[in-house]
Amino acid sequence: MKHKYSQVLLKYIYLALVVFFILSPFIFILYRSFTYRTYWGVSFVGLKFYKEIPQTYWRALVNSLIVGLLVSVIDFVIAFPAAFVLARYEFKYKRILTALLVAPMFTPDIVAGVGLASTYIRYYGLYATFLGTLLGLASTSYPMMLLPLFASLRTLDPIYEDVAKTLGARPHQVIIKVVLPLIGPGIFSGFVLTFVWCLNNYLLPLFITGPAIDLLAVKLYSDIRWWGLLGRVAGEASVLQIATFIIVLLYLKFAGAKYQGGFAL
Amino acid sequence: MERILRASYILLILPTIVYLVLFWLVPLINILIMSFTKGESFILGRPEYVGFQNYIIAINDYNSTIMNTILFPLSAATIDFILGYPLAYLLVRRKILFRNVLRASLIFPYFGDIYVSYGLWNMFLPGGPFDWFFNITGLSYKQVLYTPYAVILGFSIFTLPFMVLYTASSLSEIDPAIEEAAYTLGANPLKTFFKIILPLSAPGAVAGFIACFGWNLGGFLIPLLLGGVEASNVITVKIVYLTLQLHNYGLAGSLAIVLMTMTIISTYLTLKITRVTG
Repeated sequence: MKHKYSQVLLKYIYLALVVFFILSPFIFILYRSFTYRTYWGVSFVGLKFYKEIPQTYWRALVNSLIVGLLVSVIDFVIAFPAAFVLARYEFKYKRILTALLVAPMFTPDIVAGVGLASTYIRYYGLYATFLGTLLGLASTSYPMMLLPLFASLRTLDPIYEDVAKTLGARPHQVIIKVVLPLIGPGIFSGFVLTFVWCLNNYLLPLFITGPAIDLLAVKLYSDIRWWGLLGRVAGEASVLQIATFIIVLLYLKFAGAKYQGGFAL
Repeated sequence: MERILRASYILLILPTIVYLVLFWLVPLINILIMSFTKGESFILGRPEYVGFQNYIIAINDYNSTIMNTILFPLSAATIDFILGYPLAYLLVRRKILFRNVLRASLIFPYFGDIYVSYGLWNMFLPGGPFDWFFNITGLSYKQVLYTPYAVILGFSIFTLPFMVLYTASSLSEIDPAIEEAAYTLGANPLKTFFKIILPLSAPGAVAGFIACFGWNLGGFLIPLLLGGVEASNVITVKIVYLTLQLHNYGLAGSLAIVLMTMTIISTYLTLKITRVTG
């Protein structure tokens, strides 16, 4: 019996260490944003650093939220039909096609950024435009929408669609009234993953957005590079971090683990 | 009827393919073409083709960069394996209090390239939580912060979730009855682990290892902030430097192609081993 208690203790010490290992940078940024350190010690300054954040940052936060939402919508509109086809029909080269559809997620942001920037400048004329930013971000975050939709559609029994069809529903009615409500958590997962990814992406906008719109992650990136030691920057990082954390918590609360697609735990 | 149905679902998947060709494949091909041109001639004005000159420069002058780009993620993936495998095992096989806290904390680093690098950087600077460590050992913070070790630490925090996810999904497919059978037949826990669980979960662990490696290949801010001048010598940082500061897009393109090749190989291996995409 004693042996068992020591095992349990060891287990929790290990878990605590790993959680600390993962979360320590995040927690320390929060701590840093409330304290001021000098050579002689650390003093608590309350919300001082948050009040020092310039007005442009709050506007950039709003921009980032709008861009994230629009990108998620674009991704959903493009990914839903594809996910439906992949989940419901069998055809030649399906495996290869699926692998290619997931590939943008594994493309390093930097490669996508350089490629998109050069393509925009030479051919599309979308460089440093709002539309170009949306379409570029959507192309790399696309698999994050596709995978949860695909996973939830595959676990959904096709019998519901058959029943609806038998009862006389037209195809678009089947999709809107039957399929979409039933895979709600999957859609929610896709939106959250895409949205949070866009909110925190700084590399791609750095290449393709230019000065067209201020995004919080890009401003944060340049501030970390040039003013990294200021307390204000820790405050800015915390704002984006807290926004991300709230969204992730909502996600874990409302969407079950089985809808995470490739990220299933 | 069958043929009409077939035509209709091909139409459904068409927008996706057109979109990804325009905004993913064309940019990649564009980089490939760009890597054969000189300087900024591809972006501005007429492209000036120089053959494989950029690749020769990339291999001769940037060989240490390419080595670092491979070595840092490999070391990070090894650390992830050592830390992540037991964690995945506990998640799948044992009862844990606060499981949701653990899951939330696992999902978090995935979004937080910025926070991992900025947070760690702040932690290692004087006044951070490692002061006592530097006091005891008599080291200066610069002997840890701007070295490869700091970069590897940052990388391993960033990708630990992937290791756990891949390993856990592989472990959860093993029937617990097999373990019990091994115990019943007289194997001790250690032997059960090494002879039964480890071989059966090997595909997931290997896939996780390669996935960690692949994700860190594209890491940018972690080497930039934690690596200082010396250890930030990786391909991504060089590409940003070459494009945004030196405007040598041809050379940047060839380095991007080298990076992309490594990513494609590791992604292909991951997908082949796990068959995530079914």
